[in-house]
Amino acid sequence: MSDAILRLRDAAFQYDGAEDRAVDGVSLDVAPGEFLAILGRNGSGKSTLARMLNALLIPTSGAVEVGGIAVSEENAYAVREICGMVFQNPDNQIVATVVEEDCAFGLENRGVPPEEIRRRVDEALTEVGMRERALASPSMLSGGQKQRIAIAGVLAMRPKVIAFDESTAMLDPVGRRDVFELARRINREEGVTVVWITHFMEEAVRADRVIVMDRGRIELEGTPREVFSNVQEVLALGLDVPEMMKLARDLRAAGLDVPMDTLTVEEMAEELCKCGA
Amino acid sequence: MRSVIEVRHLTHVYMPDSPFEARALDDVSLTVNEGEFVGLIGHTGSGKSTLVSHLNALEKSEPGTVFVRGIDLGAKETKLSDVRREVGLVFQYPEYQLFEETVERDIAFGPANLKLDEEEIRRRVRAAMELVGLDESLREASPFNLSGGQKRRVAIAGVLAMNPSILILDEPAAGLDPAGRRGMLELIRGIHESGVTVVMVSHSMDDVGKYCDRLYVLSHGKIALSGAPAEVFVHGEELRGMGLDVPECAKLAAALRARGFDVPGGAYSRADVAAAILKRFGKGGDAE
Repeated sequence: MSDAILRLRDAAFQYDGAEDRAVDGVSLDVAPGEFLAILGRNGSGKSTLARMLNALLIPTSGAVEVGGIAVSEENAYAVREICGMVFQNPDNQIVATVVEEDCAFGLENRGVPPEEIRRRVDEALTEVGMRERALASPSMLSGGQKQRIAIAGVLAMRPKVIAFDESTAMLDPVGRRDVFELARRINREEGVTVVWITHFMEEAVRADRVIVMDRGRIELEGTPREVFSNVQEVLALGLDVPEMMKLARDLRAAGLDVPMDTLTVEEMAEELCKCGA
Repeated sequence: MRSVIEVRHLTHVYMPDSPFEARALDDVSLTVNEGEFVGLIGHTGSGKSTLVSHLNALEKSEPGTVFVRGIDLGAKETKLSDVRREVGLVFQYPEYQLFEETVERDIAFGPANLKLDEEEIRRRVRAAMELVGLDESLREASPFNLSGGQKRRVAIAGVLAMNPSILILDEPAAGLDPAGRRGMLELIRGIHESGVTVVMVSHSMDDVGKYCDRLYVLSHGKIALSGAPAEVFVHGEELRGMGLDVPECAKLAAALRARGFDVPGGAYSRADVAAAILKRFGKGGDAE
């Protein structure tokens, strides 16, 4: 893939004083407009990998290129122009006491003219559905709303890639769905490449491609259907498989011929009807 | 069955008579019986956390009454320290509350405040560590060098070292990876099996369906649904309307019923749904 927007070649990162490398030789290409989910147990290296995409961490060996720019200390700002990041804890990402000021923070730091800031902040807040809360205090918002503000702040910078590091982990089911759907829409409609780190399998099944990391390496890679078909392997890597796949396995074991890679409730209902209902 | 928690007509209004007035609890009544594992479900802002604070007398109940083992938490003569010895409360992300230099000292903090003798404190720390599955060898470790899941176990051990007869946990599995989540829930199941009454606040229908005897669903400060998981999960549409979900297999059961399959209304576990499907196809065998 020559036109990859993210290109990792044997990329590795070792924290100071750590015995092992947190990311241990990862090679990966991500195409523009792709929605890539990264799964893996705690400590598998997912967050470290994401932080290299944003130049918060500089690879200790190998190469990471973001939009054709090598991730290095010198290129950090240029890299962040291309790849924005949304973190896990909504409370740790809000810096201002008014929603629209928070959203404008990055633009102001970059010296964007005030009228341009106004335009971009309004657009970004509209995009995330928070325009009417522009003058609210973030402290009065729910966790999901705070994450949408954080996303607006990133969108206002017009990145080509956004890395979400477990951005739904601390949200309730409604907040989680809102934030995930927002990321999907930004991906589908704006063409922003999304790297989506998560522990929720029901989010991963809706990605274009899934990689599973363990001990700093990529252990499984493919479409959600391909990856989750390896039920035993996925479980052994500390993850879960979608409930319908487990059910499919149980039904097959009892002699009912449903496809092993049945992912969703709708698919399962269809398959069972085909079985002769 | 003897009740250990009785909440009667509890209402709680935050910032009354101000523009921010918010009715967090609105005439809530519920009962928790001795030895039960009760799930408390609701979306953000439904009043779960306020309710839980009442059960440990962190909030005052007015109007309404809360009884813990027959003690009226609103009565003047009630010593709140007695109540808090009965009810252990584990907050969300309790690992943020660790502060001591070693795991042992952090867990011992509560018992030490009870002025117990050294030997008893050591015994309780050991027992609590064993119950949460922390290895002895970690006693002298700094809690801050542990993994997220282990830190959370230390925090829970600190609450268990007070020997509560009732344990309340607010989203104990939040933010953990799937294996950590399973481990944490199995741990709580073990604590419950050791004889402790458990109330668990959760967003996850799969988790409460799997572990709880009985559920209360809060919505806008009111109890919207209650009963055994099967009784609650048949209300799929209502739950979705409250910003909640039902377990995947309950959704499948509903989808199959809509297509004319004979799946019992209460089926929500994978084993039950699989058994119903296999019966329909004349395969009668065991699913698990």
